[in-house]
Amino acid sequence: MAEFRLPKNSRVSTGRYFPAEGAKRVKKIKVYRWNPDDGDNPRTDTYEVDLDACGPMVLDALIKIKNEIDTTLTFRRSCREGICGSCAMNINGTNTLACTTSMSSLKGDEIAIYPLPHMEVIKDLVPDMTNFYAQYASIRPWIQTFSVPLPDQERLQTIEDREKLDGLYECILCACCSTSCPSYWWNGDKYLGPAILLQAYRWLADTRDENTGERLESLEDPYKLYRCHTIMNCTNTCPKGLNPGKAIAEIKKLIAQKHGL
Amino acid sequence: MKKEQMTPTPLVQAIGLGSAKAGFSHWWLQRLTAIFLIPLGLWFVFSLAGVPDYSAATIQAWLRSGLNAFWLGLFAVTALLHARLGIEVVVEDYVHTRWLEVLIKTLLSLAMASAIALAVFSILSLVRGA
Repeated sequence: MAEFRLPKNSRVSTGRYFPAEGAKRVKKIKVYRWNPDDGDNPRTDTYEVDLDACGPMVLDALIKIKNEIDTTLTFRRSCREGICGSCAMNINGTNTLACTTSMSSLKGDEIAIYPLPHMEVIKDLVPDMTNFYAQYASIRPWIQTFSVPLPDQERLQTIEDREKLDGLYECILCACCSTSCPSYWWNGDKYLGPAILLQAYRWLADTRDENTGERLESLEDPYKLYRCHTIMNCTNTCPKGLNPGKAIAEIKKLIAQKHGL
Repeated sequence: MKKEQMTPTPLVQAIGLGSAKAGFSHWWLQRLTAIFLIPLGLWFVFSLAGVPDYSAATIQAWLRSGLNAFWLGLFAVTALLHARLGIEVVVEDYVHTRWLEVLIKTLLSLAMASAIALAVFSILSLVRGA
């Protein structure tokens, strides 16, 4: 039942070291490496990066490494401004976005970079998000209505009702929160996790959606929802400053209300 | 990475057997018992602190005075019920071998029902005994 060590093929060894010749200001970037094709165990390679010839963010350093030092390094990135969520990874022990984390904000002369915790790794810093996205699809993240809208206008919402979505709509589904949650580590196949539950609440809070009752019904489950033990790692780690812990509490309150409390 | 695995689709796996449409009462009872245990626990500690010694005769006399036996029974049942709900959550969190999970939860129900019966029986015996 309980496993106290990583499986043999997951134990991480120390890999190669790439010094930066002639650099004055150097940052050491230690990166988790695993290649599904070579049959080797994971390892950590360390790259010295010349800060005088590199942008300020962790993602800048990773792109510099891939461009100039080691083209085999694999990671996801896209928007480089914290809106796509692709470069979510574990940096110095905290899940965050590499593109919005400046190297100067991190203490010490070494930055340790690992993929999001407890996800299956496809290669290096790229985790398998299949289950995460399937869980997102399972909550039906789109507006569900029964009334017929007027043919010539949108479904209108007051400014106050629109404000109920603040702190929810900003979620970019980077999975930093879900992969920081111990409950999601142990039961990620059944527990929806903070990101998906925040998204579920986003549709419960939307006054234009008309399927609140059924949404709550499909959430009330010992595993899908109640695995949340208010550990609050999610809120602590969210790179967008959102509060998934509170969103989950709001779902629990709505379900309590549904049961007559 | 099992790219060739087409069915069940990831969505079917994520939905699983669907929602149990239950879980609220467990969650709520765990919180209710926790709240009740604050005053009951304080009462238990301060009452026992006020007892001059812990000989059988003194405890028996203490149980027989006022509503002490009732409060002690309520404290024991609430604490055991809370423990049962809590341990159940721990088992669900950490035990991933299906048959073992069912076995532990079954034994837990039996053990906690016995413990509650034993607690009530013991208090009644002390109150009614010679």
